Amino acid sequence: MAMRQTPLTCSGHTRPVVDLAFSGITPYGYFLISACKDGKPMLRQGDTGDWIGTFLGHKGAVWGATLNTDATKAATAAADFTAKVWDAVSGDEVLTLAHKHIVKTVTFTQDSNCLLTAGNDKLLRIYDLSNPEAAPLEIAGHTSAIKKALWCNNDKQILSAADDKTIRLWDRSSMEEVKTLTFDTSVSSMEYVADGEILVITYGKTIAFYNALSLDLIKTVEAPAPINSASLHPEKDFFVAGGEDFKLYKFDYSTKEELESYKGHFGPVHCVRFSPDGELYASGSEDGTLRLWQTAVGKTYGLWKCVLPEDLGAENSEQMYTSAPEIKA
Amino acid sequence: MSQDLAEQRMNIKTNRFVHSCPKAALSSKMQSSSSIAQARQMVQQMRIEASIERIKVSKALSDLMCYCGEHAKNDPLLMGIPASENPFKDKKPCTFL
Repeated sequence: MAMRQTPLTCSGHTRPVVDLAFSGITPYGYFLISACKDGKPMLRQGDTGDWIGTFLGHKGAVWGATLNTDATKAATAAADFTAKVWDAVSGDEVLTLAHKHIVKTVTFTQDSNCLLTAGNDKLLRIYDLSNPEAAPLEIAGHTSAIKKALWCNNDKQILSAADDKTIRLWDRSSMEEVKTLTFDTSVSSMEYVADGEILVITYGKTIAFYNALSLDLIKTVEAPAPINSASLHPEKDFFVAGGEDFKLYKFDYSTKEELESYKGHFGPVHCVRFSPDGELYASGSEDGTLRLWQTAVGKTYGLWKCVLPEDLGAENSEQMYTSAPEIKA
Repeated sequence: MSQDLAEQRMNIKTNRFVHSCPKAALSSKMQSSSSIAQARQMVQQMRIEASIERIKVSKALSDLMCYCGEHAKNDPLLMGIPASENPFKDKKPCTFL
């Protein structure tokens, strides 16, 4: 059942890759942005991993990066105490938002009009991008550094995970805390799946799924090693997770069964994300590379072409390029 | 049409992104002539860099793989060298005269 898989390895970063984000599906395909401790976030073509450009300007490690849905804007959060908004088409820096401490996470609302930032200053800030000179709305409450902040429930609410071992749900209009989840250890990652309102949380060796509106637990799954990040497939049939043992694990969401594991990275996996069409997932690692993995191994997609043993003599490529990595079926 | 726009997007990005160098500071009039010369050089360098033809990594890699495949039969490292032409083959042991 388990087929060997050749991932697409994307090199270019010179330090660990700590965060990844995909855009939505645009008329030009979909895109991927990677945040790296070398301070130079990169934009790549999502399905092939081709480098498109590097955003130059940050003076410190970039901890968080995100794209808006149509990949026209990018935002990054860095250790130089700023968050920056970029034009993702030209690469120009559009806005620099000064903070009082390291900024760890940035995210756009669905209409790209507002930006949520958070970091070591323990505050959640909401910037209005049509009026960037105005002071941001600030939400306080966390008692230690915030690792991740996300919009949820149609941008009406905010979810934040911090080193104080809590995840809090806030209401945007009242700026009040609605609910809190407390854990025994600090949460390593959080992902929100809008369709179905599912929250994917990782801590220790556990991957937990919660209802994003009520923060009720749906299920938990234990992995063989400490997990740093997990991502749920858009159709919710699988989820993938990666962590300290350098491997990527693929689980069945309904049965919680571990389906496959893949070796490839040379360092702990810091971040895993599914692409918007679910055909591949990207992982960023301490080894400074991103790897793109196929969800359905053996399928012809992007740069992957299935080559069966009988066909090895035939030239039958319909794609623009002949295959790069081959799948042994 | 969308392919053109995608290429344009890629070209704009690669032109503006990596090759934006910090601008030289023109400090005082005394140094202005050498600063102007420096700035001219920098602009010239940027023009050269901007005009370099670029292709996507995936395309470059597939071209490389094709090239290697097609020329594999001419590669001495893969096909070996006939012993008669090999200047480094083991010769008979030496004797003292």
